[in-house]
Amino acid sequence: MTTHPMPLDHLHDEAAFRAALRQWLSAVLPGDWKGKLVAAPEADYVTFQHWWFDQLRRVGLATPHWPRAWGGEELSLRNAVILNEELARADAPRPDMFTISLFHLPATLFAHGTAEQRDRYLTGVRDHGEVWCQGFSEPGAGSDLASLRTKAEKRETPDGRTVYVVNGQKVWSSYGMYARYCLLLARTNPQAPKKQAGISYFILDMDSPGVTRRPIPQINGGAEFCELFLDDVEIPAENLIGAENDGWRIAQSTLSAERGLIIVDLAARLQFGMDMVLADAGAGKVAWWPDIAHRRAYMRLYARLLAVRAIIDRMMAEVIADPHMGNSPLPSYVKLLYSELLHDHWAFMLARGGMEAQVAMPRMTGDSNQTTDSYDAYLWSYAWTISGGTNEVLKNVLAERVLGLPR
Amino acid sequence: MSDGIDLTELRQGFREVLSAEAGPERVRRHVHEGGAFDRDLAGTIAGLGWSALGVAEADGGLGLGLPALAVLYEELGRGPACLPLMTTLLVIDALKDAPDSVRGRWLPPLMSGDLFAALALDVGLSAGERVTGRAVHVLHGDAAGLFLLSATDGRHLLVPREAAGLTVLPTALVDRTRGAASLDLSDTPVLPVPVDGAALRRHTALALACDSVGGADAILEKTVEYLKIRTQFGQPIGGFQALKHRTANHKLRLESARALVDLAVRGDGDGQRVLALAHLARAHAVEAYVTIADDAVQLHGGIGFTWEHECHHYLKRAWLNRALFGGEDVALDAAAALLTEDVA
Repeated sequence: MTTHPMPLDHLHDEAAFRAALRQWLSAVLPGDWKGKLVAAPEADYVTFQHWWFDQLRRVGLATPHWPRAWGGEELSLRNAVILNEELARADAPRPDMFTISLFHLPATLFAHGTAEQRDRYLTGVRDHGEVWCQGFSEPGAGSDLASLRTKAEKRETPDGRTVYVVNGQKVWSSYGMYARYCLLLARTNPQAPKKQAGISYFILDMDSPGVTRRPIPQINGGAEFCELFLDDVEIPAENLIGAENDGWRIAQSTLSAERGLIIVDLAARLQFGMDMVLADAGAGKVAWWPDIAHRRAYMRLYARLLAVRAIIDRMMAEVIADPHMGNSPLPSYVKLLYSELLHDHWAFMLARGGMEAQVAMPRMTGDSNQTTDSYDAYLWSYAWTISGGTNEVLKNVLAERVLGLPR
Repeated sequence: MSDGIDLTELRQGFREVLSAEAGPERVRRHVHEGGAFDRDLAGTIAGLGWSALGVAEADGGLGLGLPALAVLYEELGRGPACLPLMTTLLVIDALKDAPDSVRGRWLPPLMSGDLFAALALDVGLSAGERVTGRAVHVLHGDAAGLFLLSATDGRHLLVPREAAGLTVLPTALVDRTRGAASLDLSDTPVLPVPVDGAALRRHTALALACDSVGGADAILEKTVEYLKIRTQFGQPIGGFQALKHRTANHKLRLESARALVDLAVRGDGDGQRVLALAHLARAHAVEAYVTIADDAVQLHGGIGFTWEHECHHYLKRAWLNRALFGGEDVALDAAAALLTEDVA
């Protein structure tokens, strides 16, 4: 049995922390992990994600951003940035299947959960790698999420339990096929004067009778998302998060978790990729680099990347000062700028790929954020311009709330 | 040293003086009257000590660094002020490594506002202590009493306006808030001075970048205000989604430019990368400025098309910034060359 270096023993010293992370990564990370997932069955990806989560967990790096009381490390911003940079530099896997488990669930339960809920479900993530998904969007409720129609009716069962009986349909649940639990929004008061006011927030056990899941094949050939059909599904009353009809407000903390930390990591990875192109160009290994128009276009993309990373740094400083971030416009700037850059960057790379890029290639199963194929990445970039509020809706909000234009 | 100064207060001070002395009415009058160099106004503003911001304390300056100058460039860009300060500040900074005799002779009049300076990059000149050659489109050459020429052979040469064999021919620019000149040198005596060429280019790029962020910010603010008050079809036109999306995009361009310019002004990293960042910041900020000023005319509708309205002041300044000092393509090419050497 080998002993791995423990990076978290070196938090006091930046250089030592970096060195220990690199040493740990080179010890545990299989060199060709991406190659092994090309054309692999979904089950291989799921197994690999669980294995990687376990590796991270063993050295305390699965939940380093969580509070100490819940097994986290309360990692400082500076150390979190270093961790992200080193994971990006090594092109390490992202624990993508655990995104809801690691970010949305704790953001929701720390602020609004009961002690029992925190104890049961955060422990489940931390110690057993339980996978969570999100049941927010519906076929008729995308950008206009508050118009959701999935109903939850409170009832007493014949054996005296209080339950909510849920009926409806959810879409775009990432990794919903593999999730043990779901963070669910459903309407508990259809008569509420404002549509936002009648929504409640639940923990749904995905193994409950009446839950049907079906994968949604995407334009890039992957199927990270699925749709959920809920037919007379019983949710015990103790699985309500916060107060009945207060779900919309609680969902805001869930969504703000999504808009911040994940992009920090992805933007760092995009920079490593772009720096690699610059290094290759310097070594004469980039065929399109001598074309002055392409070179200039690439420099403009690179300028946008450095700019969005600078805004991310400011956003992180704000997160530290005020975790709820009040009315800061920075998360929406970051989402809009990053997603549009990502799309333009991959469109540029796809164009440079010429006919070679048009040849169908087996794709890497799983996290499309980590694909090395420009066509796959280009297609996946729509996930960033569409999800989390379409860019069009966010631009309306920016125009109204930041610039003060009339509604 | 800029650690010791509150940049927000400094900005407020600049803004108050500039809006009182060089505000929109003054700019409009200046443009209407043909844009000739206004020595009185320039003397008043420069005499406030702003030209001394970057000068070492030992030389009678305030010893503030680039972050303070960046604030000044940005505030001057908001006007857009009709003042030949950018090139004067650049030349003052370039002279910091010059011998005592040179600094003692030229810094005091430059700092007091009695003298303004112009800068020309990449000038082809003959060798020797007396030079022959030509520099065209020299920004603020019309107003300058002193020229710093960065020659293609790597020399940096100081030339006073009265130098023998120097002919200064003012060039009117479409942007009447700025002037220019062409210089003919014929067996003209010059004074070689030691100048850090990379630092000068970095400072020049950042000055243009900051001017662009200031101008873009000002014209976007004015445009958004107009969208709130202009009513058509019974509602403020800012309520139309097509216009909201365009202004939101402009705000994103501006914030992206500002973030990159701030990063470039801080200038962490090695020399190559720091210079590359300045070039990228210049190209990125100018692109934002041109895009925003261009659409500002359209968003203002008919009024934006008039000579009377100030939209065209910003539009013309933006296009001038794009073309100045070699233009943005040269900036992008320089960044590409620096970054491929740097990263590889």
